[in-house]
Amino acid sequence: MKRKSNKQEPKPDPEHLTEAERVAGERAKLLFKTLRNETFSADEKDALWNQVEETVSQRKQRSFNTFWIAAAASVTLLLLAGVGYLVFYKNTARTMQEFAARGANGPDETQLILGDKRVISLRKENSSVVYKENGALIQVDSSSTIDQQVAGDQQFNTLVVPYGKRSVLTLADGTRIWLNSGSKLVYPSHFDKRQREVYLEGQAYFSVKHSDDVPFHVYTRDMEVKVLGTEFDVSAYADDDYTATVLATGSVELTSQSQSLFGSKKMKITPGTRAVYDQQRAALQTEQVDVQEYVSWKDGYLVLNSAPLTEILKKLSRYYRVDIILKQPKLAGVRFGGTLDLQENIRDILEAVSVTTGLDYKQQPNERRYVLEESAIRP
Amino acid sequence: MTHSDPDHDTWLRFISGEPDAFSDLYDQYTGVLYAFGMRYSTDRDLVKDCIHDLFIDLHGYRKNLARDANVKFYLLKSLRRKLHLAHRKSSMLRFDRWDTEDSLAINTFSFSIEEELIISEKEREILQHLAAEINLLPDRQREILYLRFHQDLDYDEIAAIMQISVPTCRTFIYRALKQLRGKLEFGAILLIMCC
Repeated sequence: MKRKSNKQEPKPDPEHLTEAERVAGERAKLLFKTLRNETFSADEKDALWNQVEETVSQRKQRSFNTFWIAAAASVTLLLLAGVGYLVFYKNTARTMQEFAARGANGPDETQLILGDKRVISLRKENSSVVYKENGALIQVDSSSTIDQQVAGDQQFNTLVVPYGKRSVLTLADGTRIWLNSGSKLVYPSHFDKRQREVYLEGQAYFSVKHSDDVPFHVYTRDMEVKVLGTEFDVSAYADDDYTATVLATGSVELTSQSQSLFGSKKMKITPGTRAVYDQQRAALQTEQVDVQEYVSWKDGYLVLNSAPLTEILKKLSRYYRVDIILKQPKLAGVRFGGTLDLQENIRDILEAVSVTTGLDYKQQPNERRYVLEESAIRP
Repeated sequence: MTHSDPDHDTWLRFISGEPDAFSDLYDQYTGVLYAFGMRYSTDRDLVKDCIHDLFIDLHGYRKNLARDANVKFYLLKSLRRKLHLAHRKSSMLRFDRWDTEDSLAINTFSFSIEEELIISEKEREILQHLAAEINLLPDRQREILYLRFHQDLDYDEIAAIMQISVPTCRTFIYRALKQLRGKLEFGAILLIMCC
């Protein structure tokens, strides 16, 4: 840089400016208020945040000191010898079920847990995860991408969606899976050539890419669903005493209680059928239903033809991550119909429910708790 | 610097280790940092990488950060240092440019006078002329004007960011204004002659 000697300049100090210089300064100041800035889009911002969080969680894992690593390694080695023996004799479904039990329960944000234990947080309420290049590349929320190792031993990925959030997952084979609030899906980091297998806890809508040679299996605690390519909904919440499958198109084969002592039951169902496995009666039953009622949640609304109030409130509390207490036990089993727009906030929804049921709702001081009770004003 | 403003609260919460404060800090400053970084570079990914590294550093050193810092100034300074290092690394690898100095140059400015200001036609012409003149100033002088008038930093802070002394900083801004004044008068005469 060329630099002139400034020795001869008088008072090189902005406080001693001439009037003309001061005006130039004022104008420059005005001008700089209109400076065009590069804007950072919300998507880019989220993507960068995901990267920051990912790096932070990697650092945390690395920051164990060497003593503990050595200690942990020797313990792990002993454990592996034992566990390895057991795992060797178990099928993929069992392994995935164990992964599901291990995955973090009740995080605030949707989490993608990779085979190498990396945890990626998805901040959006409705997040998306897309696998590309046979699983080696994962695109998160359509903006940031993550690499993972797919060669070598089979590894599992877990997508954990807490209450109040949803996620859409696209697997490397083109299968799309909508995960509802409070759900967990375990799947291999890449499918092998003979089988496509996933394990579900909670509720998901599957749109499976057709493949004659490679069947797709959805395992849950009590039921196994086997398909070649079709669309269906599976609901298997741990706190429900039933597991249900609703078929939208194509055909599926159900197997209940595949791990029970008495062997398993197999059954094929047709579109419009809902198959329910009742845990207490240990029985698999079918009924004809309006498919929309069971799958509309993935498009952001709730269609109710004739649903018990408790069921409706349970669905709402999962979707919005709120507690709803019904102080009118008489109404618990009463059935209601209608359509609720899940884009609206919980207060608007409860307002609609209150009008229909003739109850009043109150928000408790604890922000996430609502009470439905008898209306103070009698009609 | 008042210590009761919400931005500073986020900073204090962050230092004391509150879990949410890190993402709040990110939400508050990342837009400003990105706009700032793009002043010195045209490479979006490079700027994002530097912001990423900056937040990783913040998270790692959070216990040792000064509680009474001017947060925006501190973040801008840190980001500029990161950009400078990245810039030096990349120019070291380019043999065709080995003789150029390794200082970080600020990009030319683009102003939106038309949309932002309600002023007379004459004043607008003067400002447009001034905008062109500002873009002709040496890099360092333009950078000082930017830090002073757009980021509202004081001389001490500007000097710290640009790694120059406070008197040099004052000299630079004085010289810039003197030059702009001279050019402006000339421009104004031209305008009068044209009309």
